Amino acid sequence: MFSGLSELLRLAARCIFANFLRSLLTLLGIIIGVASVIFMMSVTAGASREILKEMEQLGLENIIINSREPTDDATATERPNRVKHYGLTNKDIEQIRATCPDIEFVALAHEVRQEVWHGGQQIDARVLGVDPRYFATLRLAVASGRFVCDLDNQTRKRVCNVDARLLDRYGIVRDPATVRVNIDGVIYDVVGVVEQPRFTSHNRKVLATSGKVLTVYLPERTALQHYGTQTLFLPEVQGVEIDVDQAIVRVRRGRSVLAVAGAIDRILQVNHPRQDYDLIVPVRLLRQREKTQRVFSITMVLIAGISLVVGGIGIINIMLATVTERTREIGVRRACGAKRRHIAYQFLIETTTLSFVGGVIGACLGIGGVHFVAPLIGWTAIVTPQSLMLALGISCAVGVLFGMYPALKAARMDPIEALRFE
Amino acid sequence: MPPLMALNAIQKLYQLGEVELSALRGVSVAFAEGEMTAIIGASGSGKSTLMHILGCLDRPTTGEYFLDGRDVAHLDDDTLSGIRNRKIGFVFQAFNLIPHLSIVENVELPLFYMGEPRRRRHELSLRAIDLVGLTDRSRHGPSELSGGERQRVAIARAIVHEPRVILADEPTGNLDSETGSEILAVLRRLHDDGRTVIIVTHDTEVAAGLARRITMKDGLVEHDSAPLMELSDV
Repeated sequence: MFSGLSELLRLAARCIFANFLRSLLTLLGIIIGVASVIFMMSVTAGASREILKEMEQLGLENIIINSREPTDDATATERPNRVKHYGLTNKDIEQIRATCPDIEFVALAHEVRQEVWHGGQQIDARVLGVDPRYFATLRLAVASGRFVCDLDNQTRKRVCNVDARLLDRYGIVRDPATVRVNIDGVIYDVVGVVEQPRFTSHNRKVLATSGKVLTVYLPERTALQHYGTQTLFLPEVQGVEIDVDQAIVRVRRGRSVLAVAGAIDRILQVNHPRQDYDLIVPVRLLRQREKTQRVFSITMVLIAGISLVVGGIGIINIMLATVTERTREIGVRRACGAKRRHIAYQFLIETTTLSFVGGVIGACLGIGGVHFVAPLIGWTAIVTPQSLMLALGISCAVGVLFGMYPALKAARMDPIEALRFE
Repeated sequence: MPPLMALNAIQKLYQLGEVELSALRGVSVAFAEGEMTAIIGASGSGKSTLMHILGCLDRPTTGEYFLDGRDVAHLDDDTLSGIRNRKIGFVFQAFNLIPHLSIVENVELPLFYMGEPRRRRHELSLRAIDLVGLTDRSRHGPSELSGGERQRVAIARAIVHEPRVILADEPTGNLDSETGSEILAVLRRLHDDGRTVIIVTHDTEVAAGLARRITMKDGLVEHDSAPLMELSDV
């Protein structure tokens, strides 16, 4: 290239702004294309971060197994008055522990299907008897007091933790350490308040075995001692018996969660042909969602690509018109000693500048769209520098690519013909 | 001293579909440095073709053309562009200023393609503008100038890079007679300063005042009022 690039850039800018409306209309395709590239990449980046955050709440090193009432229980209709027995069994847990050496521990939760009372007021909460390690696996934290601990569990103490919002909801303003709750006649001291977990709705659904939002946590052994695994609903003499309502498997650091999940899956498939369990593997969900995200991204990239191609064709069109309009200029420049490549550069630079301007406008619109539109429709979006660079790079590339033909056409003009052009 | 420009048996054929058109049919003519010459002829006489060849915008089909001691008749496009850039200054009938450039930028054009640095371009073009008497209008755009002023700018562009020859193609064709004679006066002054000027025109009045007149007819030199004697030596 010869010196005078800055000159040509200035000239290009002047030609673009001399015909600003025309340039703007020409650039519409590029603007939309670049704006959608930015928007799409930002939304994708935002969604990816959200998904990661959501799955990290569940713990990427965890595998969650929930017991579930089987949908097609053939015996249920034959014998309505009986105790339904389903879900995870202690045998499953034993087998899982024995089969997978990569498991660090399995934290169990037993749901106590009993009413909770506090000073004559019934409290709508689910009661879970949990392994003390349960709290750590879900990254729960105490707002005050302490968690139910291993010693409580070993000695089957009558203590419990409650969700922070449970106290608010029922207007219990006293020092939590002095609060007691009554569960089916057994009195428990509240030793700690659990900070209200900010689970996403998806995660709440995964973690809550019942529909209830608020939870009272008892030591696992205390719960088993007082309520067993069987619950009878009188007077119909119906009931459920579930050994384990929820098991959270913690895989050792650095070991493959997916491999452990596969092993657990095989064990449970053999033991539970009725499919009375749900296996939730956050890592696997993450992968799946990322895959969906990718399909979405590819679709958006295609759409953006089409609009960029359309924009490029618009640019070719306008530049061909410009070249024709400026035929005499080309003739004069050639007469003054411009070589063919000087003419080609001039128009190529003009086209590239044009589409770069389009890229900048598109990027501004894209970023604006991300900041104003995305929150309105409840999307999280992050504008990454990479997406900005990519979008501007693409717009320049479109300019070079689609400017080639008009530039060559201008360069190939015969100077005499060009000077004669009316 | 060899002539500045020497044409020897120049032929130019145009292929127009089936028909072959002969624009120049063996022109031999030479120009000395510092001469001011008019090339006259009716339209179709071949004078424009001759000017294009003299200006290295076109190449002859056969024949030799020595410009400044070098045969330039059959050089490639890039080399010819370079020669135009350094040795030729064009003045056109329609002025041919670039509308979106300022006057100074228009005048700078040959220097731009020479790769001169910006400050020097500016300096030289202001000097050329001064030479054609337009110093006070140098900040304006071409559209703000009268026809005569535009042609002066065009002349400034033709001399800014100190070419070996100024080729003016009907320089007064788009001007009224008064302005036309002003422009001729400018060209004559350049000649007086020692520059070589060739004016192509069909206007005998324009040609009348010049020392040498070459009349073209049917692709041949019909009359040369003061032929260079060394022609046969070339």
